[in-house]
Amino acid sequence: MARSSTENMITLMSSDGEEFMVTEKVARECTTIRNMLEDDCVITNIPLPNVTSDILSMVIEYCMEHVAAAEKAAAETAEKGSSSAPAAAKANKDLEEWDKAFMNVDVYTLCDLILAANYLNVSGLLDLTIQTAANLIKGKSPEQIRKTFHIQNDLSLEEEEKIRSQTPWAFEKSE
Amino acid sequence: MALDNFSFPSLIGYPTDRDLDCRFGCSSFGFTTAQFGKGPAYDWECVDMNCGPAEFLPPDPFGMNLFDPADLLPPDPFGMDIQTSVSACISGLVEGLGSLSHLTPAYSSSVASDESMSSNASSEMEVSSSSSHVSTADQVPEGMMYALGYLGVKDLLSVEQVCKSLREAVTGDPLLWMSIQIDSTLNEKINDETLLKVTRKAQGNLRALCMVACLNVTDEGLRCVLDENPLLTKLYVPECVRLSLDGLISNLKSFNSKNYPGIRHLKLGRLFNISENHYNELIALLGANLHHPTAQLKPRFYHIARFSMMCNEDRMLDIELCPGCQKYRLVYDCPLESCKGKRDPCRACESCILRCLQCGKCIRESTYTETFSLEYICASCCKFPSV
Repeated sequence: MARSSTENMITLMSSDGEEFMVTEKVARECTTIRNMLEDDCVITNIPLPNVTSDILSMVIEYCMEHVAAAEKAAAETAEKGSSSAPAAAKANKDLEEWDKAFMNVDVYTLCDLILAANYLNVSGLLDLTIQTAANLIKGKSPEQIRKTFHIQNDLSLEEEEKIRSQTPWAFEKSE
Repeated sequence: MALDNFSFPSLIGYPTDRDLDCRFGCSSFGFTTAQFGKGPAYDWECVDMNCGPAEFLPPDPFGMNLFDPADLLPPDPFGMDIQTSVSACISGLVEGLGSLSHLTPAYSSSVASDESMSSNASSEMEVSSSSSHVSTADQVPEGMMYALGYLGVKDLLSVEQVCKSLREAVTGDPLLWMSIQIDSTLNEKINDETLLKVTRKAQGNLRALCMVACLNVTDEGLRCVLDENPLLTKLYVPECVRLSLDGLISNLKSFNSKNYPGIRHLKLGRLFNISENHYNELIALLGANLHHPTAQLKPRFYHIARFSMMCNEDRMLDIELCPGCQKYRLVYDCPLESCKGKRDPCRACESCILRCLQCGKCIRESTYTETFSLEYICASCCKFPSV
């Protein structure tokens, strides 16, 4: 994609010191960064102490993809005068597919992505990651949830019995 | 004389005067503390006196329990429950993603840091309270807590049993239970007693209750729930066959007369036989404006998920007068483009106009298949079953 040379480049620095050069447009996808830029427009180097480099690179990947999709849609609209509904629907579907493939990560990465998306305030990514995490929990038994999220059961037998006795009706058939 | 001016109410009312009076009286006239001992003694009266004031005072002169006021307070006097309210706040934020984008970075980062602080605090507390137990706050990925706000009743009950920190997160956070939807995963198991137990998890914060086809819930059970949840504003009871219309109306009457804002959204579904009187009564109860232009409402389409909580949030009452049979029923619009803009809009209850179960289009002029459960599927949906 051709980018005009006048476009501002911004350096994002992860917690482990790695630097990422992104265009301002991509950086602006993060509301947190957008607000920083609006407060003080000469910032070019932004340290992000809460985000590690591998997670930050994923967040940037997501933002770039979504910026590119939005640009493409805008260009098409400008070309034809009005956006054709089927093309827009197809573009949306492609982006959804991309999101779905993007979410093919392990649970630790997913949870780190949630925190990063929350910190950087990327609403689309936050929604996507949390929904993915919720889908991982939905419809599962406690044991299956432990397995999925690698959690050890630290409840004593009595505690477990107590919890189950409070809501026995909820689990009669499923277990 | 200074003593003549001693009138306690005025002294109490004006702290600065009172201090001046006291100093003046004490230093100039030098009356002894013994004089004070008889009457009620204030701590300020003794400030400038070189004697042990405690000897003259009863142990607790004003019944203020000054010595240990904390004993009088409940463990969490303002119900702040800081650790859980932060996570609730976040899950609340997460639910309203649309509004998230307006947040300033300072706010969102402070929320994030609060969260990490509170989770640190909780892990420290766990370590100190039971050193033999390994802290579990670390083993639950922090990001997972954000997902709790996206879960339904059944899944929250499962998550509760996973481990200690998740149990704390789920039970200690009434906001996760603010909106309770009981659907096909649980509706057969819910009766009056269990419904009350589930709604109690909201600790009085329940705002929306949706029960789809809860066959065992009675008017009495609903009344108990309403009694305990004064903040409820949305009540959806489609297909709850054991609820009677009269019982429901009397429940709503007493609830809305006691509480503000009361029930403002009601969904009845299609099973009630609603007379004009009932309808008018319900409209009056909900405070609905009869002259509200219906054109502003979203069209309602007939489809499988038509009883879902998300549908038609803007309607106060799902029932309206069917233009076809003039009965009070669920009235559906037609999503078919060719039906739009006609003088005779394709808008009626399900028995006046037959509609496809999957796409909601009217099947007056097209071929269709009748399913086993006597519902209809149009020819185009039949070719590509979406289930």
